[in-house]
Amino acid sequence: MSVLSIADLHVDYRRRGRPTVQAVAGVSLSVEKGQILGLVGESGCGKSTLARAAVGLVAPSAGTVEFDGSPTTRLSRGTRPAHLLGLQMVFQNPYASLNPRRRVGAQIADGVGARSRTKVRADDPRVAAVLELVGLPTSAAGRYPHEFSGGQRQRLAIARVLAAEPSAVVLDEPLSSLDASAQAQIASLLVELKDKLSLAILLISHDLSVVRQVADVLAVMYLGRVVEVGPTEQIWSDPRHPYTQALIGAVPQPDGLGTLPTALPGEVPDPARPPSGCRFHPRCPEAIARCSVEQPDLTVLVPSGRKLGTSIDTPIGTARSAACWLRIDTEAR
Amino acid sequence: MAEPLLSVEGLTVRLPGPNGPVTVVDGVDFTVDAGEIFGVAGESGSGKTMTFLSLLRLLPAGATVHGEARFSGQNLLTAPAGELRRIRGRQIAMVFQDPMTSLHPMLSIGRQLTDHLRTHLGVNRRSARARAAELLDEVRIPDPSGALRAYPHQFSGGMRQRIAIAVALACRPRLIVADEPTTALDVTVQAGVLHLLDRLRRDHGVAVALITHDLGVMSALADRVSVFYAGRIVESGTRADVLRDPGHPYTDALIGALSHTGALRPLPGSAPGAAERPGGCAFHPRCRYATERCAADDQTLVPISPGHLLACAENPLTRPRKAVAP
Repeated sequence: MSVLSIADLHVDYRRRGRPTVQAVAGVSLSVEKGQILGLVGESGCGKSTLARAAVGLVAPSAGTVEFDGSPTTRLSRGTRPAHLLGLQMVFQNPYASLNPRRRVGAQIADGVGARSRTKVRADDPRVAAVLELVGLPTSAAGRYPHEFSGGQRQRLAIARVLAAEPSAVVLDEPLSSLDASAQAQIASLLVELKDKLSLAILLISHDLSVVRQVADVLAVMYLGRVVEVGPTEQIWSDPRHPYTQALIGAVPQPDGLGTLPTALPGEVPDPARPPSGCRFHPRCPEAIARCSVEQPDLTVLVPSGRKLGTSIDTPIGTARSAACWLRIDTEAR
Repeated sequence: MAEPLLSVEGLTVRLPGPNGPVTVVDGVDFTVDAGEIFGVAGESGSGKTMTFLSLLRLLPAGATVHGEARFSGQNLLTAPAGELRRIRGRQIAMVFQDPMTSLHPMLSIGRQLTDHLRTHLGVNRRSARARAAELLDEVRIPDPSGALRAYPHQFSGGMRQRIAIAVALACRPRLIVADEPTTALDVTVQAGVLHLLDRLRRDHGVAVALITHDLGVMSALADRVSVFYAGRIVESGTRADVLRDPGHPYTDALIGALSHTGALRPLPGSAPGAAERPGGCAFHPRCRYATERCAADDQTLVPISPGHLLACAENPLTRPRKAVAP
């Protein structure tokens, strides 16, 4: 059973006198134990809203999010049901999410205390163990967040989350405020933690080149909908949705050849007025008449060159799927 | 050979710190030719931004700058204030990482594009406006005359960065300093901005000093690349020299850290702050090839092939190849 499963999730932002913004418009995803699901897409595609809805920080307008089989409903002020302690979130900016006026040890002890339902002191051995888990010296406990570099602060934010012994962690752009070398360090820490603690990780990022190296499964989001899902290497080597192809083509390669990446024309449309049919059709180089009329659903594709691959019963996210009429017509089963 | 557009020698920048001045840029030499894209790579805190801010004399109070910087015959570091004002914005323009902070949120795009045109070039309101619309068209903003009446918040991040580039281009500068111009943008939007910078260089011969930690961006645009580490240049050469044939273990590690093939190979540790710069080669504590002499001796840039300079005593990456060469 999936640790975190999202089914037909919709999140609308309603504003008086203005059209409703469908930030997330029918997304189904699931994350398994010991798996990193990378969710990528341009800014404004709804991936952060999806992350917040996944942990219960925004209320879905339709659909469900289940953690360990029970729903994550919107949290009310100050109360978080005990069964949700195992679902944690790491935010983009570690300096904004850590309390600047409390020592690191005390902040980590909060998480340990929440799990053990006792008051835990900052010098508790369990605090030291968590720091060690994220590759920081135990002496870090006595220091304040500002004494650490950006990469170390992100380790602290991860440590604080791990203190509650979660089984699922949602990370919203945890790497984007970091340098290339710190990014690689945190990315490999995530892989290490996933293996060591059998975590289910939902990793949200706009940076494909990092996600590619850590995610087992990749989901590509465009304007509130997931347009392609599948094992990371398969998507990278053989993207099927034209949007995924454009995203991968836009990543510049450090190969010293001086090739400019391919630019995708146009901008992400206003989510308050999404295009008809497939939401990508106005920017799609391959769009056909049907694309502007009918919205394609995420459909399991036949692996190219082979007749049958994964079973239709495999959980959402593991089977290669795309939401594109060009592929559905020719390759769907 | 033609005189370079910008030539910097022995540039040293010290900033005041809690325990006395710290050296953030330590004896840097480089040149930028007219119409060239000169890439400056390195992690945050390596001194790449400080180098260019010091050339425009935009450093915080208390900073001291030594060395020489000549820009088409003028000495940037000693030019009197009036002359400097004519250089900044008109001959050297700057594009920053975050267009939302570099554009004024309460002034219309038209105002921000025409103000310095009128100041620097002394043109009247109407022709400044016409020129501003041309500029917006040049950076591919749809409906330029409508955009002139709009405000920064009405545009997306990619559009705002295009507008910031239009502002920089307004007086037809000879050099644009672009500090992480695409770091805040999505890859798809980034690709568009990279194409724009490339086109500007081709069409107008404007030189670009491209500061970025993204070696992919570097590879797409730069003609020559200098790699900064802890306030010094550790390697410089053509794009192909540096990215395809890196000589410095630091350059190699940066390329490897996020290589697009194979497993993650993160570079351990982080770059030292300016106050805790280690002796000898500043990279030696993180270097897998480091020997005793790396910790002891200061390294200077020496040519290993024409135009390819390297500051590394051990030179572990190029030596074996040289040995087999006839």
